[in-house]
Order: sequence, then C-alpha cells, then structure tokens
Amino acid sequence: MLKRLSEAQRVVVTGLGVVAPGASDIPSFERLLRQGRSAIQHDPELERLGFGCHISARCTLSQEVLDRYLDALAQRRLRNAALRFALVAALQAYESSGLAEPTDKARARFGVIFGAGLPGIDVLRDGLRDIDDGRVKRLGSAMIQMQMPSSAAAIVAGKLGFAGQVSCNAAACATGTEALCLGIERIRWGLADVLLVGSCESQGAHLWGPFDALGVLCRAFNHAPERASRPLSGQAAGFVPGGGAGALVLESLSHALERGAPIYCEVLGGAVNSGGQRDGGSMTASSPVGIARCIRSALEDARVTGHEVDAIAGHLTATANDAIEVECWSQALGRSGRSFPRINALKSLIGHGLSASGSIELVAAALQLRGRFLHASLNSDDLHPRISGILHEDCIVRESQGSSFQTLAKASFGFGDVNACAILTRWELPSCNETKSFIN
Amino acid sequence: MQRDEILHQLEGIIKPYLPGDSADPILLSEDADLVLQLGVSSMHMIDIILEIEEDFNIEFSSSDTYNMSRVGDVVDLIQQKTKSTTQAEGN
Repeated sequence: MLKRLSEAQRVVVTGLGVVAPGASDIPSFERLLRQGRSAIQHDPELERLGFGCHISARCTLSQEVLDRYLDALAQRRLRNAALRFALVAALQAYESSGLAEPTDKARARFGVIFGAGLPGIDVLRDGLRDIDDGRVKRLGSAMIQMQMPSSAAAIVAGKLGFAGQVSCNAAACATGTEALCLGIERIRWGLADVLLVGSCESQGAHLWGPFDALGVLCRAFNHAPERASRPLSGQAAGFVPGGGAGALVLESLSHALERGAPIYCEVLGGAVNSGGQRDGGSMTASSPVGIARCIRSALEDARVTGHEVDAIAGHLTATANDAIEVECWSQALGRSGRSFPRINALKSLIGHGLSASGSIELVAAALQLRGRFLHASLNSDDLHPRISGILHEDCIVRESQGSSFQTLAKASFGFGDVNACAILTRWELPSCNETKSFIN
Repeated sequence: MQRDEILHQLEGIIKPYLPGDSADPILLSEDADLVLQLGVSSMHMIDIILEIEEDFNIEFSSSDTYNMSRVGDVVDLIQQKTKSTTQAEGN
C-alpha cells in the first residue's frame, strides 16, 4: 500500500496570476471563464501578410497593468511581449499568495521554475539587423535578457529575493504543465517550501508563421472568428494561435497552513513523459501509448483511481488529435459513455497559447475548483464521430455552469512527443482538530 | 556646451537607471562615482553610454568608456566630443 504523504510533502496552490487573451488579471480571467466568452478575433496583420489563418487570440496589457508591475526602466528596456506577460503573471501570483519577502534564512527554500517557448522572437529581428549592419554596439544590454528563456525566472527571483532553484523548462506546448510537475517533485523531496511555477509565450506573426506554414492553424473559419476554435468538433480545422502567461505559487501544505495562506486547490500529483516517437508518436504528434501512460502515471502519483476524476481540462487543440486524446483519456481512466468525466477545452475560448497554454489552463483549473464551476467548451455542438463513439455528449460542458466537482485532471502535450499531466483537487478547510494536527 | 548644461541633460539620462522609484528630480554631483556611489549597475552603464551618444550626437571609443567612473569624467568627455563635433561642422 502506498505511504500517505506528510503535510510537508503535500502541495497546494496559494497564488495565481495570468495574462491571457481577453484578460490580463485573475478577476477578468474568471469572468471570461464564467461567461464562456470567446477572445478570438479577426487579425488584419495575418491577413495582410498572406497567412492562411486570418484570426488569432492576442493578449493586451494596459498601461495601468504595466505600471503596476514593471517600473519605467523595465518598460523601456524589456520590450518583448513574452517577458512582459511572464513578469505580470508571476508578480500577480506572488501578490495574491500574500507571501512576504523571505528572510535570509528561508530564501534558499523559495524558487522559480518558469518555462518559455520563443520569448524573444518579436524583437529578435531588430537585434539581428543591428548586427548585420555592423552596429553591434547598438544592441545595448537588454537584448540578452529579451532572448534568454530563463529571464522571466531570473528577473522574478531577483525582485522577490528567491534563492533556491531558479530555472526555465521547455517542453513545447507541454511546458506549463511540466513546470508544475517539476515544482511538486521539488517540494515533495523537501528541497523547497515555495515555488513559483508557470510559463510564457510571445505572440504575433513571427511566432505563428511556422505553424501556418505547417498547415496546423485554422483557415476554414476566417469569416467567423468566434466559431473557429472547435475542440472536439467534427468540423475542427486546426488551432487558433495565441500567447500569454500563467503563474501559480506552489507551497507545501505545512508551510501554507502555518502562515494562514489562501489555498486555491491541492495538487495531488503529476507525471511527465514521452512516447519516444514510437507507436504513432512523431515530432509533431504525441504517441497514444505515451499519452495514456502519462495519464495513468499521474493518477498513480496522485493516489487516485480513474473513477475518482470528475472533470478533465483537456489539451484539445481543435485538430485531428482531439479524437486520439479522448481515446487515451477513456483508456487510461477506464471510463466511457455516460460514465466519462465532464470535459472542457479552454482553447475554444482563448485559442492555443503554445508554451503558455498549460499554465494558463492550470490557472483556469484552479479557479474552477475554488469557484465550483466549469467553463463552457464552445463550438462542440457537432461532435467528431470518433469522439461521440467514446463519450456521451452530455459529458461535454457546453455552457459555463456551477458544479460541485472534487477532482480535475489536466494534461498538455507538445511537439517532440512530450506529455505532462497533473491531478488537482478542491481544497476543503479541515476541521479545527484536523488543522491542529496539520500544523503539528 | 557649458558644463552645467551638460550636467542637467545628463541627469535626465541617468535618473531612470538609479536604484529606487523616486519621481523627484536628481542633482548629480560631479564627484559622485556612478557605480560605487550612485549604484548604477555595470550592465546599465552600457545603456547609459548609448543614450549619451544618441542624445549628444557623439561617439565614445572603448578607451573612453574605461574613463567614466565619476559624473565629472563623463561631463569632461562629452564636452571634448561636442567641441570637436562643433569644430568639425564649422570646418
């Protein structure tokens, strides 16, 4: 029988931050989720540049938000979108956790693991042009920081005085969920009390161009942006590109209880793996064998059975891989038809934020668990026939709704045949006696 | 250019790079060491030099940048460079 985890090994989420299409803070993001509102719009730049896809889900940061989290010098020097998104989301998460700057003694037990995709691609051309024109000196000091994938982690750690692990992970579209899995491992091993985890991605034509060239962006709904992102649908025709950043403060339960922290949810466990680009896996698609194994490993790590999962926040990008993903969930959980858990896809509202997607979707998962609701999965009224053969259509959350579910599974899959899955559960305040035993 | 004129313009360039968030204007002393006393990071010195070059329309050599410890050193260099630029234009 598996040994029960101690309070120091149990991991809870005590802070959240987000910059997503249609929302640049937690209250507006929660409103978007509850309203089931699409943030996908026509993108004139992509159309002008001859992309097949003329729609996108872009993030905007108001001057007010920028002024709150970045000083004037940082705003002038750090011009790349991904780093700005990351810093805003990470500092929001820290602020909402109510943590004070660690003491010198505790500093080494606070860390940051913040992943990234191509964080500097929107400013790279300016730098390359200066170099090619023989003006290397004009690069100044900021270009390195704007290109370094680990900049977000380094800047946040410097600002907050965190002196434990400060690093960046990269696993394509699985990056955000992988960051969370890496964080829980570190806390469980007793190597940290607090870890700020998350991920970020840039946005714009230079980032999205290669995906348009691959033919994986949606081209069939340029006339109807809000109907374009169609996870689970028979008419799914590719993903809608997006960007942003999500951030979560992970903390050992004992540390969180001791300081009376706000707790959004508990992370029961997680797993990361690869399909080895075998059994149907490739550079661009995850192997079904690997996906199912990753979900099963996460359940095992979380000490829950497939039947205890109430809701699935799918990776579900609105491509042909959605049907494969649903088959994998069904196989790994041992459930189908009406017994399949409730399932929704955030990408139907805010597109696919690539390396940022996992962490933004985890923030959404934590908000749904705490707020007892499930957000709508838009454009899923015409289920893909392979999917309708696996689950009953009532399992799909078509409108945002209150729901007293307890446990949620979140998975992300990325190019390179890499997978990550996390199991989260609703946090209930223990009774007085239990609280005492937690603290003791 | 007069020294006080250069110093005033320099204050506007350097202020954003000083530690702290004060919105108050600063008064630079010519004796102040940029790194040791004012707390400018060596990384930000690179950006300050670029801004000075742009604002005063001058160019520093590598050896010039090694001689920029105090505010007064920077003023000296700017004065020399702007003088030679003006003379060159006059010719």
